[in-house]
Amino acid sequence: MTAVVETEQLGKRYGNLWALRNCTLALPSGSAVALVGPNGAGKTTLLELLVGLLRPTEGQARICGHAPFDEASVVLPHVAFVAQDQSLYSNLTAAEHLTLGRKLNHRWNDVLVRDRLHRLRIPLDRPVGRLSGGQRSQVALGLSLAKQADLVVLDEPLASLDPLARQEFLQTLMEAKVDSGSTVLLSSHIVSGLERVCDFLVILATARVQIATGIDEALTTHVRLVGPPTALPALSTVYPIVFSTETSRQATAVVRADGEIFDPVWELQHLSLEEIVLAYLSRTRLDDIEPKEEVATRAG
Amino acid sequence: MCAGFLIFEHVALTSSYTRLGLAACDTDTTAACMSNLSTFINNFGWLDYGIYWMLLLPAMAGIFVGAPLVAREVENGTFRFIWLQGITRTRWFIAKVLALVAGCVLGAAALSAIIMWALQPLVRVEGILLVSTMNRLVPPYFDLSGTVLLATTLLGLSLGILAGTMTRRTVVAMFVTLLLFAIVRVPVTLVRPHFAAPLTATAPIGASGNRPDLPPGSLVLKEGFMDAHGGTYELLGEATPCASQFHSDAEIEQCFTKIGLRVYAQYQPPDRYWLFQSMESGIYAGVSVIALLASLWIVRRRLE
Repeated sequence: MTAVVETEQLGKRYGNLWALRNCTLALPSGSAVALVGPNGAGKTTLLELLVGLLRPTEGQARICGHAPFDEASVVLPHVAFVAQDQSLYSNLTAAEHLTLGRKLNHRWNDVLVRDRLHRLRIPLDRPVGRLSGGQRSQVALGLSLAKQADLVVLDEPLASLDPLARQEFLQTLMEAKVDSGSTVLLSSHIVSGLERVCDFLVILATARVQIATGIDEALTTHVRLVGPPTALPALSTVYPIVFSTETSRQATAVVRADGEIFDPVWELQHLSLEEIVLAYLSRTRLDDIEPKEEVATRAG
Repeated sequence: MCAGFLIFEHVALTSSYTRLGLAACDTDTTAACMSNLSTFINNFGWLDYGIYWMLLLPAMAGIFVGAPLVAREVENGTFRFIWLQGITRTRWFIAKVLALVAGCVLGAAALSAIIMWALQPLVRVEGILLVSTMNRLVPPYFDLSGTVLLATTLLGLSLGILAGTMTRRTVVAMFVTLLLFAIVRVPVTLVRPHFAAPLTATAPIGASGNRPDLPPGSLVLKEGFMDAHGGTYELLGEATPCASQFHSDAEIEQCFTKIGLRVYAQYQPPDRYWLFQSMESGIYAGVSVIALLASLWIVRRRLE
């Protein structure tokens, strides 16, 4: 599997604060990647580094083998980006944006996009500043799809949408993805619903990648074990513990187990994607107090 | 609007110029000619105030066209859209700058040409009388004509673009633009009369009024009295006690001749107009290029 997106020790510092650090990733091409993490985890920083809006402080990012910031002219035709806050010209109409896109891009096909916007009853002749939030998001998405890029990056596209608009948005996105075969990378702090559209997961917290893996793989390898607290130290020598809590009578641990767990002292429970994400985020919450080396390996 | 006003004034100026028969007054300094010239000046001398405000146009171009160029994109977040299309931000910036500069400088060229054409009669008359309000070497005429108007327009735009790129905030950038513009513009204007060493003309006192004959349109920088050793004085009393020692005009003049006292004028001849124009335009163009290159560098490497 070739990687459309690769990063190596990628880091971005603002003043004394690292917004992202030691980020080494390879995202399989053709996949739909969910970048999940709490607010302020560095998601926007990572995405803007990938599309070349930001310049890395250290390490490097590669899109189709090229550095997005330094080799923008090579990378730009391969990426499309939908920014978090509305980045369209509020006084221009959707149709004018489409014209702008056609003139500024070699590869441009907005036939499907016009159809889709038409179907959603979004007026093409009204300034986008006077459209609803959901409609604007659809226009922004349409513009990014018309570019027919190998990689479509969306920064928190769902945040400002109501549940119905969210569903419509994801549906549009996935239809287009199937049509074009492009790689989609979207960030979200809302986890629910993502497993239906995404097949790869990256969890980002406190400026670091916690895990990067296929969603199916994540679901099969992460389990919650409930058992006696005395057995916990032994367990930690066998499996990487993502997160554990213990009381005097019972210990609960979320572990990443690549094989079967035979030890009968542990009761085994399967986890939902949301629970896995929560386990990683809870761990980093503790790390904030006392930093320690990451347990999770970063899968490619 | 400016053009309409200037064309109207040109018609008024030309008709009055012809009616008073001023074309013949170039060298003729008879009383009739003098009085006609004065009438003309009295009627149209206000015109320099009428066009003074146009000196603000280049700054306006910077404030309203240059400053928002990058700042507004950053402020509204639209750079995240426009810089992610198929062309790089470098190309985007260069294309925008070239289009705006071409448009504004073309407009400035048109205004400059109209001003030079429309005010011709007035400049000529004020030149003969050596009135400095509409002298070709001083504001407002110098700044609104020739290539300097084009250069200051380019300067305003470039400084506006730089201010917007540095501050990333439109309103702040507008004030910074005005400040930068003044910082470059004021010193150059003050130094302008000394772009080349001024010429000095002398004449015997009383021979032709109290000033040596100068070519029409000269800019007088300094005048007064000069003794045989080249010492200059603003007031006659400082130069010699002749006037208080003697009483008849003949005696006083004899006294002046004896000590070699003459009137002098330090001036810039009118034919230095294009020399000064090109020097000043060169300075502004140079600053503009530096400002634009700095802006480009910021856009390429620092804006994120």
